[in-house]
Amino acid sequence: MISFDFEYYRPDSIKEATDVYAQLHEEGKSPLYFSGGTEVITMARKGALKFDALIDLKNIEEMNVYRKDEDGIYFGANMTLNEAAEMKDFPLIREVVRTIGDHTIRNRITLGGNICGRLPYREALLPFLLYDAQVYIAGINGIKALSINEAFNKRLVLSKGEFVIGFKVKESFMDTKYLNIRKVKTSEIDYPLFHIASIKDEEGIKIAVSGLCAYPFRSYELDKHINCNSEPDEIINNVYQFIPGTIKEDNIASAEYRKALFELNLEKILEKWGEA
Amino acid sequence: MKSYKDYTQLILKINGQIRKVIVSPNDTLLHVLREKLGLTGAKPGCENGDCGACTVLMDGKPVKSCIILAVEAEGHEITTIEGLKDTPIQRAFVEESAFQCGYCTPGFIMNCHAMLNTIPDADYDTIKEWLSSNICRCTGYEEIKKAVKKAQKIAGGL
Ligand SMILES: Cc1cc2nc3c(=O)[nH]c(=O)nc-3n(C[C@H](O)[C@H](O)[C@H](O)COP(=O)(O)OP(=O)(O)OC[C@H]3O[C@@H](n4cnc5c(N)ncnc54)[C@H](O)[C@@H]3O)c2cc1C
Ligand code: FES
Ligand code: FES
Repeated sequence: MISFDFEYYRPDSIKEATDVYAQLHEEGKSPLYFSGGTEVITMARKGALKFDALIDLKNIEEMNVYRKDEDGIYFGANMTLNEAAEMKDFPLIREVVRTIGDHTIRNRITLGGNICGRLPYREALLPFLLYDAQVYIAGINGIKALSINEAFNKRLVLSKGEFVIGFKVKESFMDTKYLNIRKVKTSEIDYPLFHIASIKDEEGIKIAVSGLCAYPFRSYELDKHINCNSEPDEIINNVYQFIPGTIKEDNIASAEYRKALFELNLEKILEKWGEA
Repeated sequence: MKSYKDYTQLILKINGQIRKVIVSPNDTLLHVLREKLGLTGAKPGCENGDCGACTVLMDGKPVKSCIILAVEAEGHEITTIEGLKDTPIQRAFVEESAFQCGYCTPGFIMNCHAMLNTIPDADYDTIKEWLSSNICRCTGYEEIKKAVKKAQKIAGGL
């Protein structure tokens, strides 16, 4: 039960959604977009999130589809994690989303909600960062497409009234080799101590990380550092200069423990790519 | 565009029946099922999406009704434990004594039922993946595993 009142709107089109957002904003209300609802409802129930109105995006057809376009494969932002996991074109996306939460909750969590959420993990983002996906953002002035690596800086940067309608990944990434390591403290169904997803293409090794800092990241400087021709030991010793944040310390693990485990697993990744 | 601004009548399809209920946008589906429709099978546990005690089916898929708003259920088919009658998994739970206090049982049964309908011959890994969504505080996991195997046999899946 949520202890405060709010209004609920379910638009049938992108325009209806941006219009109702603008109208509510003009009326002095604080509207919030809503997709799977797993974070919004949980935080609202705990009193950690307040709003006057929810705008449920789930009826917007454009956001519910998965399709092959000429310039890549489009994932609608409303696809649930289980729906995304059923799509076999990108095994890394499939593998990453299947580690988030549990199977039942993945029938509700959406790609858009996970990537735009407020919690530190947002693991579904990792493959999209590695594939330098296009993110489609709708706002009162229409739709724009941006590189996700440009649009993401600690969080997906959206202006007032904007929301994500989908992501597009180039088909050329379908066969790209990948490695994926997710470490949890005890139970598999838990937020990760850290999650490293990595691919190797003609530009070299790329990594994206969640759980290590207060936000997920992919850093070009880090990729450059990893691809320098130094010994793995040296790469790992100097790695923290290129990590864009402080290492997380919480009731699950100390920063020292996270660091030690991260170093071990980064070494594993470098070794495996060395062998490949 | 559908909108709900205050207490309004909502028409829900639950266990094959049309049910009319007055809801506010901030009512969760779990709350409405239990407190307004008398369907107390789905249980409140963590109310945080962690334990699975509140699991119901939405269009045949298991969902945690504590983190769904009742207004979101409009236009979808909801099935609660009250909507299952003598299904293979219910029989198997009884035959294998797959419950102790029984608090988690409706949630487990709804999830198992959906899994067996979707993947009748689910293997060990699939069963583990689906059922890891539910927690049993009495830790009767061995019996639950046996019940799933038995239900597969009863239903002819294996
Ligand atoms: C039991 C449980 C376990 C979990 N485990 C993990 C885990 O291991 N790893 C992990 O990464 N996550 C995990 N999560 C998920 C995470 O905590 C969030 O609940 C989830 O990612 C939110 O997705 P949603 O679709 O439900 O979004 P919502 O709750 O609907 O929205 C979340 C936020 O995103 C915004 N938003 C939603 N859709 C859009 C859009 N299309 N465009 C712009 N903004 C939008 C909303 O305004 C809101 O601020 C778990 C959640 C639960 C309940
Ligand atoms: S009560 Fe819904 S998951 Fe625990
Ligand atoms: S039987 Fe008691 S919680 Fe499962």
